Amino acid sequence: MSSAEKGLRATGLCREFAGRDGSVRKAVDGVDLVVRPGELVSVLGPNGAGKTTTVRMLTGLLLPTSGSITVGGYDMVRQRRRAALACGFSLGGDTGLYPRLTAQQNLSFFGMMYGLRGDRLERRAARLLEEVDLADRAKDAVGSFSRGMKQRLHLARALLHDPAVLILDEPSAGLDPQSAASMRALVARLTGEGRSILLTTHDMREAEELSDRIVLMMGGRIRTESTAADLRLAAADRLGHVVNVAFADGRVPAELEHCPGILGEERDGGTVTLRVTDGAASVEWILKTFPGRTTSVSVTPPTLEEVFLDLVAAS
Amino acid sequence: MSGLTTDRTGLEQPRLPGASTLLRSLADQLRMHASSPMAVFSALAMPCVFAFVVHSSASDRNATSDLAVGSAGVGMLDSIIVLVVISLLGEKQWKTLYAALGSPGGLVPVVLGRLAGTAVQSLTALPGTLVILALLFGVDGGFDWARWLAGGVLLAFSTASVVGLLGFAVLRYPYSAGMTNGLTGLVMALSALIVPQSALPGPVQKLALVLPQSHVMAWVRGGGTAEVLWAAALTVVFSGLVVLAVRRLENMARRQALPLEA
Repeated sequence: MSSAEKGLRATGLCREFAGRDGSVRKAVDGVDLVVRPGELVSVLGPNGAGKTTTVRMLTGLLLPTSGSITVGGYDMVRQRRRAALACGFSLGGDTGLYPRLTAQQNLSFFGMMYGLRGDRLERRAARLLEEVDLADRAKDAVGSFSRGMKQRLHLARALLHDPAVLILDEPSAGLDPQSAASMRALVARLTGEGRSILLTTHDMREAEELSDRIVLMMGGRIRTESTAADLRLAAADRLGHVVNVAFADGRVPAELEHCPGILGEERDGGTVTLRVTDGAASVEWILKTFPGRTTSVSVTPPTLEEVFLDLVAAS
Repeated sequence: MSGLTTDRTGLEQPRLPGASTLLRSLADQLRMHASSPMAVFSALAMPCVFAFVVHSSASDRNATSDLAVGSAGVGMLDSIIVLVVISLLGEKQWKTLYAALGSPGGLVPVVLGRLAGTAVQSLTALPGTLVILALLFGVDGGFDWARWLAGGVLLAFSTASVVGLLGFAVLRYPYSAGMTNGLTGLVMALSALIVPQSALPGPVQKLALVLPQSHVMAWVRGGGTAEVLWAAALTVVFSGLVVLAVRRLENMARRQALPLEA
């Protein structure tokens, strides 16, 4: 079995929905995905791109119209029980947990669904509660938990049976910055343990920080797939580079408007942010034109958010 | 901090769930809803009113075992219907069934556990109504305690198996909880809980034989062992129908994206 087969693999995944008027709508159209062990892949896309439908198929909640899914080497349709044991998923949000049960009771119940029981289940639940910083709230009803605590409990639930593949749907949605950072650190650690993790998110920073690869979905199809760095570099040809220059005397010279390939500029005191077609050429021109007058010059490709917005607009 | 991977050494592959999930679901049903005042009210108030009406037109002076079981049966029916609706609508509202749908065992052990939980919970009607009837009318000298207890317990589970089909409707159709308004009266009339089966109109008598509760009541009223066997067999048949209905629901959720949420 190859490493890709041990992880998550979707091939030619399609899902159609029939409308009341007999029309057929393709929500997902020919998606191919591979998440190898130890790899984290983020799926980005605007609302209606087909992310949720894809996640529901990958987790076995929805059957594909065509195509195949293997999780941990098991076919999600023909070997669903085995595949389900290899897959942990968290749909996140405020729901999906029993508010009248305690955190510990929730984990015990969900653990039993995966064949865990007895001391092993109790030990595993206690350890996970500790790992997600909820040990001190283990005996409190989940209804009293904040959204961040529920998100962490969702993650603990997904990890109960120690799945090789983890699918997380917007794990940090609605969290405050501190909780979101804590969640990102936890997810990063899980990847380091050799799991295959598929993450959907609207948070570009999260995607860039955590992902080995980023998949951008639009209209039910994968529009592009690459590392965050490569996506940003590739988009620089279209969007240009951002050059930040700080001048020693606190004044931005007027001649700067003659910088080659300049697309726009934004001044703030003695610093200026230029958008240029060719970052290297512009930096060379600035250093040559204003020798000794600059304190710092940096060039960066467009941000992932700019790339995302550009691709969405282009499609 | 140690990793979140389990201490894999010495751990066997998790066994496929089933009975343990069902029992846990039953226990959690009681944890979440046992103290529901509505359920207690359903289990005690309505059956005692019925018992009062029946007793006022009967020649017996004291409460007999069939009056006690029949009254409790009305309470069980009412409380099971109320609890099934509350419990399963709660699952839809909390969107908890998706976790079960994605698990190896699917929805069946969870839903059956909830149903069994409602049956156990409805048992409060058995001693509860007896106490009230005893206080109101006294207990008959020939009160058959064994039939009261065994009949009452069997009645709870047979009722849950029949009402399980309502559970399917609650999960399948939006707004189906409204069906409960008529269901209590319909099943109550058909299952000869208050009046003997022989007192039912001809066609209804035949229909009543389909329901396990009718056979339980026939046994409590002095029927033979065959009635108990019929009751048990029909309870199994209705439970099987519930399993098939829930399996169908799973298929609809996976194939047609039927929402399992309110």
